[in-house]
Amino acid sequence: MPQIQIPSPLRQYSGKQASVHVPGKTVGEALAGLVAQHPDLKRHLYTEEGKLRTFVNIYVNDEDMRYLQKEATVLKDGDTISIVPSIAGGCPQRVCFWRDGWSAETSPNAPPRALSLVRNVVRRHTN
Amino acid sequence: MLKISQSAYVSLRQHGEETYPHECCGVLLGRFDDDSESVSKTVSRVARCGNTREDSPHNRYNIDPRDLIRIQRDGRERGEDIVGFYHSHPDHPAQWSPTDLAEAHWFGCSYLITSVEKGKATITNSFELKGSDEDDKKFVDEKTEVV
Repeated sequence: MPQIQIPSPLRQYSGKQASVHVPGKTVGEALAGLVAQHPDLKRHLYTEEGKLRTFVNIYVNDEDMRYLQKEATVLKDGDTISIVPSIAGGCPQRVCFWRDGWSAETSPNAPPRALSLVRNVVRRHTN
Repeated sequence: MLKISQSAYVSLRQHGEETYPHECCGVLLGRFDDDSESVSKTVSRVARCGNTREDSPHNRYNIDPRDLIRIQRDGRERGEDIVGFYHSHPDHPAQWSPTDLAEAHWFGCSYLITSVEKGKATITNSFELKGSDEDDKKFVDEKTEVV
């Protein structure tokens, strides 16, 4: 029976369990078994259309299922499925929120027109 | 409240200085101290990660999920959990950006941001991701205590 590792933010919906054993011959069957056991997990993993959310990565052992056969990937005894919400971020527009308002940083690579636009936006919101 | 060991705090700030002018990123490992609405966390160590955003490393970061699986596995063997993440903002304030919020999905976890100005780590702030789903999520200022 495959084991599914539950990341810490989703454990409140899995009875606080860090891992769950579910029946299933494929990744899709195992995930369906998981949300059948813990229905509150469903909206965190799937869109209303039933598609896996784009930021939810599913790994079989150390392999991304997207590079296997996706949800049709066949599971073997002892396989572990990991649910891994993505971790990313950054400040692409060089504009950030400050505690007391907001401001803009100038990037040496930013085109002058973009900088002018940002400065105007900041001026409108801070004056 | 986020309690973080001195060694972990120094390590993540040094990481930001080492990768400057690019963003650094990594994982905070430790434990959740209670189950109340306002979750308290203790960070015992950090796990450094590579920034996979090679197209724009000065203002974007991304952690490879395979790194996370490995770190999570190692942490379990030590009795540790993933309680948050850190990254740096080179020449940029230690405040979350709209992109940081849009890309944050680990509810209840801490997102630590260190500003690195001209190669020197300055302010480090922590924000906890609150909410019940993607529609109502928000970052809340989180008090940090170095212990």
